[in-house]
Amino acid sequence: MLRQLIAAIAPCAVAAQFFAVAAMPLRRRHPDWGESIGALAVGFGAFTGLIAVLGWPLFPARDAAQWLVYACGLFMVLCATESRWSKNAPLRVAVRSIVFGLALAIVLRPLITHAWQFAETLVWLAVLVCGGVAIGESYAALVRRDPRARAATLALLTMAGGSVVMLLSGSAKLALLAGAVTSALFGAAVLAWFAPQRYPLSGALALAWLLTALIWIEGYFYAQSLPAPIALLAASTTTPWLAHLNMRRNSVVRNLFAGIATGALVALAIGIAYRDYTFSDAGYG
Amino acid sequence: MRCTFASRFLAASLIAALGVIALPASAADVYEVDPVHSAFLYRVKHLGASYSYGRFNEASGSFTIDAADPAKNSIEIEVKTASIDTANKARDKHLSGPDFFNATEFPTMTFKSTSFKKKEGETYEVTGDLTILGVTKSVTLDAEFVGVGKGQKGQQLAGWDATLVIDRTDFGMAFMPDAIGAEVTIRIGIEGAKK
Repeated sequence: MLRQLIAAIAPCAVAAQFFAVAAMPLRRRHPDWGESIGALAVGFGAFTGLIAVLGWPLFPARDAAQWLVYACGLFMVLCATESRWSKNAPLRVAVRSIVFGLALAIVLRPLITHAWQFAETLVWLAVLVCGGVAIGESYAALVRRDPRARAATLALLTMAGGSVVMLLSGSAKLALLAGAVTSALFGAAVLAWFAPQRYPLSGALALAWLLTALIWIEGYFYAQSLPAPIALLAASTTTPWLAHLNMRRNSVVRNLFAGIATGALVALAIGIAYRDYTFSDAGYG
Repeated sequence: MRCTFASRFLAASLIAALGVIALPASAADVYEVDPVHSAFLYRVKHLGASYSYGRFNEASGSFTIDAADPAKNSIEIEVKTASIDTANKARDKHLSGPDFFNATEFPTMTFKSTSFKKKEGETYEVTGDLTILGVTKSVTLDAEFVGVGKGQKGQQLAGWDATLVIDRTDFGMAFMPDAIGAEVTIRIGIEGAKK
């Protein structure tokens, strides 16, 4: 119980503390490093949560869940440095695709080795890399457009919903891991809500999303999560764009509309997962 | 006459010698595990209040019985982790998922004996390598040789019954230690048909 509590609270505290306090000297020296510091903050926060749930993993990791710890380190390096070396969007997307593809190939290695044909592997990796990177880029673009980070708020709702879906799909471990990543992003987002210019979230959100995508993918392939809730959660990642469409001039209405759409999709995903959980066999829990 | 006797003596000696050479091969009988008449059961504490029981429905393997030298007996078993059955589908799905047996990543668990020591009567101490979640540990089973019988098709049958207690956390199955006990008692009953 203590471990679950640490996994839920520590990532938020670590991310917020690093973003606000620990990185202060770095921020003073390099005022334009906000995005990188955000990625590091969420990375350290998520790392704390993953270790709290899984313990310190061996290398090479024993299973897909333990590889998440190493993926977190890899994504930290990627997201913390990419704002430094790449303003070139195609290059950024290409590098992110390679890194995410590598992490996916490691996490899905048992299936690639024993279950999938070569063509099947290529199709799955291509679809998952394209989907994962496209959603990540979309979030990053929205956060850059909107410094008040409303997209991050909607992303938090989607990620929290994903954690509930993992729990109902039969893996408390993946639910805790997803919760730890969400908690870390929450710690960074709280600061951005109060001081959006000082605490830019694009690096933080990119890292949180890449880790969350890996956890959902593990849930789908290893915990046999239903495809419908995962698809609905993926669909809910597109709703922040509604707030940027010119369908109404009133931004309050647009934001409200995006919030309702995200909430509805997440609720539907949880509802379907819950129905499967309760109908598959009553009384377990 | 002497020559005929010598030839017969030589022939008899050769046959006896060949028989001695062939004896170890004929004494060790190899049996293939019949999953229908075998059981792979476990029990583990649930919330400290009771024992929760389950079984695995799919397994394969073989064992060798050497009547002349029981130390040469051997057992190899492979159990499909996705075949876990606790009479509750939601629990089966949870147990075969990443929290416990992680059946997609680790589709089998195996036991391969490394030594047989005869104790009293038909009981044995069987040491071997147990692999769960990709982690291999040496364990010792208390085994009983149940007996030999004839099947409906006339084939020779033999069976073993064995008990083993493990700590699941030794194999990296460390999730939910407060709810599900670390100590797991495994009961294996196998029947095999002579190959």
